[in-house]
Amino acid sequence: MTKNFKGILNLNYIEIKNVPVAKSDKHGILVHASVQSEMEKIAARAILQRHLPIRGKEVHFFRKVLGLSQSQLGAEFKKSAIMVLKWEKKKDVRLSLPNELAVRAVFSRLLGLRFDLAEEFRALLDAKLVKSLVVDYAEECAQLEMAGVAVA
Amino acid sequence: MNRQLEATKILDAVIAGNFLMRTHADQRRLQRSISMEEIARVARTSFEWRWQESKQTHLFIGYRDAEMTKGGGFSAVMDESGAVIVTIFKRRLRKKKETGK
Repeated sequence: MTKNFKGILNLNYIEIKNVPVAKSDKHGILVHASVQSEMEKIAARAILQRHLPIRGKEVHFFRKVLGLSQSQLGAEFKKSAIMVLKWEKKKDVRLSLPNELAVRAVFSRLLGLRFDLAEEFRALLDAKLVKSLVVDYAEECAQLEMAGVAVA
Repeated sequence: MNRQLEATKILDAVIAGNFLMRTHADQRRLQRSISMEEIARVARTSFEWRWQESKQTHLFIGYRDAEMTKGGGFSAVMDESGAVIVTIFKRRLRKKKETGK
């Protein structure tokens, strides 16, 4: 049995389709924790791979998915937690291009994605906000399995 | 099963990431922007446990962040399908009062 989920954490434009769920007489529809965690990571990877602009809310989302504190994330850039706080506070404001590239490089590494600076730079110049981002859970998992990544 | 033993099993399951969530809990989690990592952290740092007789669920309260400043909690039950989280919430923690000298 599968279900579609609209919105992940603070990002309402993401929709994840075909998420495996179980049905129980007592509790109704149940989702396994590993599937939930994987959904968050799939959404994070989709944002990076599709070159969507990074705003404060996306930085907050990535940080939450990876379980980092603001100071831990700041340390990745050799900056303070205040820097991260400032980015996150401006929820709908896009980061400056150098900062966005730095954020992309760090999160790509943490999520095990390939990062090519020249390619990213070109893609970011044309990056536009989208109203909805639909990701297929089953398809993404199949791709990850093919790439040799263990999935729930 | 003994309630305390049940609570321990729930905590172990949540820490190991081997639990189920009701869609209601998931909706609340998304609404309240609580990540799965934070739920595991609440379980790991859980400092308060209570059996809620009226709701027939176990209530756990702990910290959501590494700095141990933000509180959070969840209520869960243990049944034949394993540990099931019923709801998740953020909890504002009161600062400890300074005790004189």
